[in-house]
Amino acid sequence: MMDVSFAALLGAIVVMAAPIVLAALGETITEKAGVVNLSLDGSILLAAMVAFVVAAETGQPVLGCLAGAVTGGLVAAIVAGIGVHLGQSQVAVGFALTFLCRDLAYFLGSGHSRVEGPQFEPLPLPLLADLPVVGKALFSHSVMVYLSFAAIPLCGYFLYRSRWGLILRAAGENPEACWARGIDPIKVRTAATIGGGAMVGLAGAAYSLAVKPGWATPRAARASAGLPWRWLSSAAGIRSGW
Amino acid sequence: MIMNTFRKLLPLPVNQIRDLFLIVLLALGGVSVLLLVLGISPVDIATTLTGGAIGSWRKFSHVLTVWVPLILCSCGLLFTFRAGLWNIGIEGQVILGAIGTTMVLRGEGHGLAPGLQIALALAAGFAGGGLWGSCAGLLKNRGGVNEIFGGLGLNFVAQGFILWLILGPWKREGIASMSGTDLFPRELWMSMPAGWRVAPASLVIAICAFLFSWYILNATRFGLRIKAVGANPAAAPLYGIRPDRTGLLAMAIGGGIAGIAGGLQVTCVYHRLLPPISSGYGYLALLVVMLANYKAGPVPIICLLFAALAAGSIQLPISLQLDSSLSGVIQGACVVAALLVHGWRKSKTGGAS
Repeated sequence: MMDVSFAALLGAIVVMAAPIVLAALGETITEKAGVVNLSLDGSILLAAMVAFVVAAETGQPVLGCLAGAVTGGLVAAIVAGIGVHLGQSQVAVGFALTFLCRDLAYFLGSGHSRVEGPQFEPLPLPLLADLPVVGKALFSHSVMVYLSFAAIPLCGYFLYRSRWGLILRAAGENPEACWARGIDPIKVRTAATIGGGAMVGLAGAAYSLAVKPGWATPRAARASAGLPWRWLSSAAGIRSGW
Repeated sequence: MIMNTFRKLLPLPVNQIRDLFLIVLLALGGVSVLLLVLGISPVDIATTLTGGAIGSWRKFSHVLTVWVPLILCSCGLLFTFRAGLWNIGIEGQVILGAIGTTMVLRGEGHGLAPGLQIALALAAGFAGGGLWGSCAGLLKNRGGVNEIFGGLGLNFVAQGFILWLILGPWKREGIASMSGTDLFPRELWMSMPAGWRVAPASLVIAICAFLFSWYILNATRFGLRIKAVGANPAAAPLYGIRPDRTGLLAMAIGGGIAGIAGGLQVTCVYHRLLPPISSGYGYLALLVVMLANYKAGPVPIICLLFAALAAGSIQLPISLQLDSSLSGVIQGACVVAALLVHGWRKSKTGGAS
């Protein structure tokens, strides 16, 4: 009996962690390139709403995920446009966007609040899911959860072992050297911001399609509204201690 | 010819007015396009919002109840922004101000006149907010903690603190409830004429706070020091200005003014302490000050517009069945448009703002 509840708890933790992992990874990529994208909170909510609505209208969770990623990328593109290209304070842009996106999500999503919609079905991995305790806790989740955990080593490889990762970190740590080597740091930063933003959007999609299925305007959203601020700091923590 | 002399005489306002026009055009245009795509008439929205905000004196006085805390928070933020600090901890400072005020109002009167006790309570609010502001400032000076992270952390602490007070030591007679503490005795409410929803005294306090801030920031030596620290923290020490101390003082004053906003929410609006006492006015004020391009002059009018939007949007669900968060969308769009236009102007003039 104890086993089962422990496994369920562990499983719930793993599921709840998935969007946080994705968002923190996205933010890490952005921050490594020397950009602070503070719009995380609003971006996640807006992407969650868009992903759910698209999935509910088309019946395809995968399309919903794509839409969520595109939304996150678009929001990040605004941050990159105003914060990187026009040289305005990135904190200011991110902060304003946080509120704009949050209210936009509430406003546009109010029609789809508390309706049934498609979601990712749990997909137990063969063999592994049959393991005692661990099997139920780690290997019987939806695709999004597996994806978020696969993303950790992938991002690590991308940032520290690949040529692109080197360029990205150079743009963040020493833009002058980057420039001298014939690479435009502004372009790299823009790309990193948008790419990271897309991952943040994916995190939002994971939230509304796999973790807490559905979209409910004020209550559920407000319960989570305080959390993402901490995601940012967790991302910053990862940045220093990776 | 006439146009040229005019431009020479008034070089800045012309540019500023043109920018303002661009910002409004961009923001309202964007929101209107969005509404049209959704099949909602922007004209309907505009009439509903105006009707909800200035349809009657009662409604307009509701706008003013939002305006008071908003302008107080914005004044507090003017100090910190001028010193180059991002005081995101303002929400916590509002909460601590409310707690300080409540503490005095709940205490023994010691035979003080109620008016005097309220004044004392507001001073305690100033102290509470100032204390919280200095905490963030000290964390930055002594611990090297960025004021954004320190402020956010202190916001969470303040939130926990107010919940503990309401559910613990200051709980209601009989049962602790999330709906707040007991109401204060009537004589400790700020007096309000019949038909008003805002206490005239709180309006006076808000206007005085704005004039005080404007005067300090633009006409005193101290204001110039804050500006020097904000504009060039590396050069300030050459003139004998300590950036850390000046920044700390700016945080304390800014937090104190925000604390008065919390205190007024307690004495004039709710007459008790309740968990969402700050109502997000601190964050909204950050948007106001950004929209004002960190200058004091436009703050009162922008506060009035934002307050009107917030109050007017209450009508949206009633008359048009739309979510009231539309007001937040309009406010956010204005700020993003402002950042865009100011940034574009900056990049065009080669970095000199």
